[in-house]
Amino acid sequence: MIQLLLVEDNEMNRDMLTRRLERKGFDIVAAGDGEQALAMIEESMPDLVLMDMNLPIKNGWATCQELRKNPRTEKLPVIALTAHAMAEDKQKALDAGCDDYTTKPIDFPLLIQKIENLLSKKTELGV
Amino acid sequence: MFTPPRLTLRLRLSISIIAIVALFTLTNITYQVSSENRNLRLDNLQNAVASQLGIVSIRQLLENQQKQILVLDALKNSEGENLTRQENDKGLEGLISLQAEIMRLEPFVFSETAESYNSLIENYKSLNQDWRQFYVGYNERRTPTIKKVEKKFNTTMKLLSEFESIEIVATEQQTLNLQRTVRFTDRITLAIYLFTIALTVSLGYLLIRYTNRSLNELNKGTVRIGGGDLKYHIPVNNDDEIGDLTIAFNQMSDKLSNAMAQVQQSKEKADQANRSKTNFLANMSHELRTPLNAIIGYSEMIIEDYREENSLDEAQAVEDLQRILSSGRHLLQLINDVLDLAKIESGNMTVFNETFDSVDIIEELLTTMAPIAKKSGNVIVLEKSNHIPKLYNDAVKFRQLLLNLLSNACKFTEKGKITILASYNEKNNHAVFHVSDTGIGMTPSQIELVFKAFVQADSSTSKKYGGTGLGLAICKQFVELMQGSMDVTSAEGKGTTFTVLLPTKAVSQVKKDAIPSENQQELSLDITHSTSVNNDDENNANSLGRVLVIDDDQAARQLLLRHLEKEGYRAIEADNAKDGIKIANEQQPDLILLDLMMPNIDGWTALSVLKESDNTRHIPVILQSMLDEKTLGLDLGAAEFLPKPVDRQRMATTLRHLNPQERRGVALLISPESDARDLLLEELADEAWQCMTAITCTQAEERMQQKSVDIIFIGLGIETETVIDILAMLSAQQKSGVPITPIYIVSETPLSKEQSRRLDLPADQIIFSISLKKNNRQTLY
Repeated sequence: MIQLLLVEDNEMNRDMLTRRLERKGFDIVAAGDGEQALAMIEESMPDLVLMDMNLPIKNGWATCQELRKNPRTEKLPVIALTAHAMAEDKQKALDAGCDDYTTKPIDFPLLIQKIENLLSKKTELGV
Repeated sequence: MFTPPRLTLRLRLSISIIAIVALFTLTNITYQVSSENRNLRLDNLQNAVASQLGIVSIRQLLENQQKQILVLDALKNSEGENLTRQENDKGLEGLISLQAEIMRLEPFVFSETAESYNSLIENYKSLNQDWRQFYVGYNERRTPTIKKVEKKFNTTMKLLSEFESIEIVATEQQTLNLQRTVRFTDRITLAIYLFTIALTVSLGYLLIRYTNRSLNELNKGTVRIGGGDLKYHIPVNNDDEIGDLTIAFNQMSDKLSNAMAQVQQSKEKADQANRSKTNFLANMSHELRTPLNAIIGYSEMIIEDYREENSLDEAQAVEDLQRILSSGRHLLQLINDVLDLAKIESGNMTVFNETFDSVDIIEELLTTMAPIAKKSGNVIVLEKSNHIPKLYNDAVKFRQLLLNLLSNACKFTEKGKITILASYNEKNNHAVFHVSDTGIGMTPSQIELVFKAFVQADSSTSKKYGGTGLGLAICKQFVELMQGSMDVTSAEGKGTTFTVLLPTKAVSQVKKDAIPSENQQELSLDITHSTSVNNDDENNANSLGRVLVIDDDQAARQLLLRHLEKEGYRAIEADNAKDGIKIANEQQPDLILLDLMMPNIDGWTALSVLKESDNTRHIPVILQSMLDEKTLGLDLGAAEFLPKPVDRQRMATTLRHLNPQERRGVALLISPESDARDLLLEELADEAWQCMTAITCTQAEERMQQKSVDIIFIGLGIETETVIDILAMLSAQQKSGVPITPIYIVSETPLSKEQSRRLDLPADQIIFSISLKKNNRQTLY
């Protein structure tokens, strides 16, 4: 089963996304902030990370940069989820090392497509 | 103290010209002097020549005379012949002319020759005397001795020669002197002439050079300033016209530079404002998207559940719907707050000052806040330090302000104490309100940002504690609008205290241009209201009219009553349709506000009863409902429809529109009872006419005596004879001074030629009931 790590501090949004993704057949683990996410990745490697950018303790950008620095998690696919909708916000997320970016409110089918794209790319690369 | 005059360009030019003219004059004078000397020299020469000629002729005459005397002497001695009288006279004449000749030399005598001349004259006189004696005494032979005469003659000749030589020397000397003077004056003239030329040239050169240099400096400076170097100052070298020009130029560039700086500054400000607007929009977008995410996500999920799984877990769905609802509410709050802020920023937020008791409002708020405080285990306490006078300020804003502060305190405090300390500062006439909590507090950097829009201490705070992050920004703006001030002190982990200072009496300041006309109307209505509050019940003259409110819901009724009173109406209430109809019949209100959803008799039934009765048909009915029933309502005879919940502004406009006191006028309809008549009545009432009816000519006359009528409608089945009677009655009235009233004949069919002739009416006064509703409305306006 494909495991996704959802990093999201807003309880409502976390609950909603977890349930919707679970219905699509993903195994979801959730974290509320960047530190927690890093700890969880250390423990068990997920297949993909969905990360909100405005997080307490350690924000999404910093968390993503840290993931890219670590050889173990260097290639771990990350999709940024954020309510910041400006073009430069997207660039900021990509610069921090995110593989893709989606704006809230989330277009769910598009999110699924993005997840599948990244996962298939990962299998192609044979990681 | 002597101050040297300014060496202006004009002065320089003047001095140069004066100098040149003076030198020119001097040249002229010296020339004159030299030419005079020259003339003198010429005269001298002429004199010298004349005197020489004179001397020569004198010598000749002397010698001739001597010869004659010698001859006479010889003759006297030899023949002893006497002189004839003629010869004697001739001789004496010769002596006289000789004397005259000698005397003619006198003008040529100089000081040097005067002595010689004098001795010559003296000698001659003596000689002359002898010669004379010679002639006079000749015939008596008493003549002086010839020897003596000869001796005198020789002396005279010698003296003449002497005089001649001295005269020549003196003349030469004189000439030499004159020549010297002429030479000297010539030199002076030349020198002055040359000097004048030199001076003119050098002065011209200096002036040109000096002016040129100053102008060059000025030119260079202008080019530099023109090129944008506004800081450049042209050096001021001279205290003259060009110097003045330079100073003026420098001042101009200074002013220009200042203006540029100001423009730059305002541009920076505008840029800053633009940036913060962009930031605000970005934040706004972010804040709106977060709750929208939940709303859309949960909604989609529920739809998925329902469609795909076909197994809706009801409990789960309700829970999700609750989340959608709460997100929606959050969104609404956010939008309201943003609108409030925008309204404040654009200057459209108006302040409605009134006198209120701040403590009353706080106590009321304590009741409202109690359940919220209880939820987080907080206690709210009100402490009053002294008597607080009533405030004259915006009560609504005061309420919102304190509500915001209290809910804020509750939000960031758990199991703590929230204190409102109200006091009055007599010195500066300010009421002071402290709202303190024992909550999480803030760090100094957080305090700095606390009044900024969209900034909460930490983005995670908003997620934990909720809120839009705009509340305190709005509070701050409110306080400023209320002419007060607001401050905050806080210690992390210990709590926060917000302090609000409000003047006990706010100065009313109506910024006319900032308030749209609608608000002004609201304002003026408020004023009429506040004046009528004092006189309240007994003074109905000020009331805009009486409005009957029929609604079973007490809260809704109370709200309407408050709105109505604020707008200046007197309200009558009924909590059910039956009572409402009864009151309408008895008290004849000007307007009726009718709720459609009521138990027992509903609004629809009440409307039809009111519209069926002659007694109440004319009263405009405004329907109210949550559902949009406008079309049906208007078809059934309602004057207007207002959706619930009531929008105060819209209600005020509707009331004003329908208020009989602002009606067009009184219409008299003379017609037998019929459906068509009722339809016309309804139509007229809708168009804000107050209607009276009459069936006969007599009745019509009575009605017109009761009330002045603005328009008359006749028709719909009235006999032509009756119509003629009425017209006769009206024309009789007009003759007796009653103003002319427009008359309309209402007929279902066009009048026959015969009828028209008999009625003698212009065709445009005839309208037809068939087309009344659609086409001919405008004739009624």
